[in-house]
Amino acid sequence: MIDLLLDQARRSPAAAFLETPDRSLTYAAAAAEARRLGVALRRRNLGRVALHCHDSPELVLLLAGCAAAGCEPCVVDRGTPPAETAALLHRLGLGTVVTDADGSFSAADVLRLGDVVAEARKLPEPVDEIAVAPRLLLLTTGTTGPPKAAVYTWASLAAQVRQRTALAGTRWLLAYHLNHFAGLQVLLHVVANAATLVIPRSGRVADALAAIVARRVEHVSGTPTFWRFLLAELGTRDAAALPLRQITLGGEAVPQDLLQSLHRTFPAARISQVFATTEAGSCFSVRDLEAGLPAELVERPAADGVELRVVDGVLQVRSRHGMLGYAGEAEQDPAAWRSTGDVVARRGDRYVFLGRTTDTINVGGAKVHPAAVEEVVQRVPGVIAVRCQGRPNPVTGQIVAIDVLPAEPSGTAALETRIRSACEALPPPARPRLIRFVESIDTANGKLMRRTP
Amino acid sequence: MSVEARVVEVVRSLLARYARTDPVTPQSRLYADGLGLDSLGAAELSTMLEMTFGRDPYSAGLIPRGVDEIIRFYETTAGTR
Repeated sequence: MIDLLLDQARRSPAAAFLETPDRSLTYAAAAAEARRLGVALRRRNLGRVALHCHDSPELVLLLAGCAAAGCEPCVVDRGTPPAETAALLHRLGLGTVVTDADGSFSAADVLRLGDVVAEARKLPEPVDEIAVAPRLLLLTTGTTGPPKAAVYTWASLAAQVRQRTALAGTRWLLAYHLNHFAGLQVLLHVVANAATLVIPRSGRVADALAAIVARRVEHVSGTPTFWRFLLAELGTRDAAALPLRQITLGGEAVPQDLLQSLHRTFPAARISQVFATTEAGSCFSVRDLEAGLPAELVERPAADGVELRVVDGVLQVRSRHGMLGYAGEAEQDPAAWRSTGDVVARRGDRYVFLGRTTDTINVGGAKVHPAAVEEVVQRVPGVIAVRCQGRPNPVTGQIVAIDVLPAEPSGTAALETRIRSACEALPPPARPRLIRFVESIDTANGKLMRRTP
Repeated sequence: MSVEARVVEVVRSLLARYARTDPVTPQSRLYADGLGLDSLGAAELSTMLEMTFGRDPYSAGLIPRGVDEIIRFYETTAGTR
């Protein structure tokens, strides 16, 4: 990270690196500030440090400063309340937190972001003294238990990023938070290619859309849920006002209808599906506008250090660029296969994603994958977004329940009839037995949050 | 609306979801000997009753065979709304 930043600052000092609605920062200015932050952090002799900050230029520079100082940053979800964050820090052994919040973090040594930045700015231009093989921690989403921290070297993350001359000067949106693997991947793509990272005012889709238009963003990577909401937010407005050249989807199963909708709306944009996990890193990318992945990707020998296989219907991966291991645990064998937790099925020459092993709904012994239900419901005219999940039931153990965000709050009775009619194409256990119309659907880092209602 | 009327209405609504217009009375049997609900239908009925009354006989460990048993459940137990 810091090496890439310093390199770009030498090559393209005046190029724009970070832009927000209120300010912009060149590579030269960012590199100078990151180096000072590195000195300030090194003076404090920090080991692992939690970064509890909103997505901002300061957070990006703090990450680079940590890499320079050789301390191991772990960006934690800024939306998590301080008390909950404190428990997480304690569990992960993170004794110091840098925060832009006012709250306390009990046992953690709290450094205020403003103080750290101010201290660094008082330092003279530092001589480069960059740590060797700096590391960082990436939190897992914790869908099957408390989040764990995956340990990476910056070098292994950077190795997953492609450098292309044509990407220099391109403009990318930060649509993922920086506490997630995908957010860091976008950041590294930007730095590696001397591109510009546009940070929207907030994580709201409306702000993302405003940033795309105002800052002429060409590259946007987001979850299918993000793109679904962006299309809804776009509504009848002229899509040509969005200069998108590259649309990337990942983080969730990508439905076919969404690929088609995006292609229709942005015909000039290249559309890619990427698959990555916090533990294994980036695995593959496909651009053929077909949902799922070509079976040949699963059956081929290792390519770019990544191998895939399917065992009992679940995708497994072995990656040369994966994490070293979980913090507090022994380093993992890089030759070991890891379950991705994604349930897949062979359909002709492709594997399609059915959902997560942890999301599977058991209806009287029949396994139902929420993604299959959502794909059917999502195609019903009048549905903006849908979330499918299991609901405890005394007769069948679970039933399928869906939350539907309608395009029009009125007229949901007719919409419910259309949804039920569409769902007759599903096997009986997979048909929703409870349909609720909601005003919003919770997301976390752009992904649907599945909770038992 | 009486408990009887509300229960009958819930069962009618369930059938209407599947374009069925069978007459529903307190004497109606729920399963193969009557309205023909299978386990999924019973699961859906239990959810509809829970959404309407706040609790349902299936969750209380009962397997009502007829509409009248559902009515009796709500008439004889507290907690209806």
